[in-house]
Amino acid sequence: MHEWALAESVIETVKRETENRDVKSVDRVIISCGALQNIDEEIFRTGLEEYLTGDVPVKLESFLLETVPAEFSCNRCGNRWVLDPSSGLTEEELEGIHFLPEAAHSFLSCPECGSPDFTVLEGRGISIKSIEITEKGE
Amino acid sequence: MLDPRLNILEKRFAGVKRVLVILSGKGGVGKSSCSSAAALLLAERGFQTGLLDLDFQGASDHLFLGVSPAFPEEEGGILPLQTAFGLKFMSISCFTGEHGVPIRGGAVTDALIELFAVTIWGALDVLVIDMPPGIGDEVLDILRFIPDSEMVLVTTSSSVSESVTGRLAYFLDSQHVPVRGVIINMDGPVKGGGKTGGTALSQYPVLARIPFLPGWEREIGDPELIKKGGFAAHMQDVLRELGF
Repeated sequence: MHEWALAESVIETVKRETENRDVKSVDRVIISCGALQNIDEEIFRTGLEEYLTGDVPVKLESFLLETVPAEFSCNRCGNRWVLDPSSGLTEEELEGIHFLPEAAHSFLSCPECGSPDFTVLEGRGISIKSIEITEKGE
Repeated sequence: MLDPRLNILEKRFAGVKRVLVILSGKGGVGKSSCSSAAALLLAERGFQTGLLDLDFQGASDHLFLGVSPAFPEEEGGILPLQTAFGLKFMSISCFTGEHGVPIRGGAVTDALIELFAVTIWGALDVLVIDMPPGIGDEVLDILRFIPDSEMVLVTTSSSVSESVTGRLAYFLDSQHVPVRGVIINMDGPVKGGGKTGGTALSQYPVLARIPFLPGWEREIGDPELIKKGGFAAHMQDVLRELGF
């Protein structure tokens, strides 16, 4: 259920992005869901619904979730790789990363050289890719 | 791409009346000792208190509190662990256990923002934040996200510690961030003297001079012992100076 905290932040962001504009409707909000954090999309949607209030003209159906693979780049040897769902991580390690994606540095390492010194290029967690708005008068 | 987490941070700290940030230029001077003891004493006295260990690479507050890190409960976010005297506690160790956490700059900020965005502190009289040494990402992020924080510096009486921590103080001054005072820990015969002259921190109020206390190590991990011990007695002086 900690997805609700992230959902709340998305609703707050949509609110702030629209507050100084003459908005007729928020037509689409595309949310990138990084595979590293692996949020539960159903729980996340329930959170969006929980925090949707009448002051932002957006419907729950307007939120589109896109999963983005987690891609890493090793800072030591330059190897790039994509997170393998069957990565050999334990459930506890996966849960730790789910709560805090940076915990990945404690549990993952470069498959080429074994270093935990890597950069997450994409697919870390939640971000808003776009907010499409129709303004009044359009 | 927009990072939505940034827009919820104000709400997450809205119920926190005071934030005490415990920091130093050097490591090993007693920041975690001071943070943990202060937080326990405040909670025991009935203040709604939180303790956040932001030293990702050297998280140790859970050892002082005698807490086995565990995944937090979830309700609208993650709930800090409930520890002795009702103290609320959050640390990266909840997610990484006793594994090392080798993370670089951007990842440090990302982890900090994540913890700030998803931890539900609720109404607190005070949140104590235990910082890693230096003037790194964590300090810069505190100034960015919790600009009304109150800074408490910790040093030993070594001229080296005073000099390096003086640089941190100078930086805070340059950013118009008030330093509430200095705790001089493991205070010894050399009272701020030595090659650098020991004047780097002399303009700030001394909140306490705590001697080296051999008994402190025995108290670590036992809040009841900490509460009654010599180190806590000095930290009560610090809290009094800070208006608690």
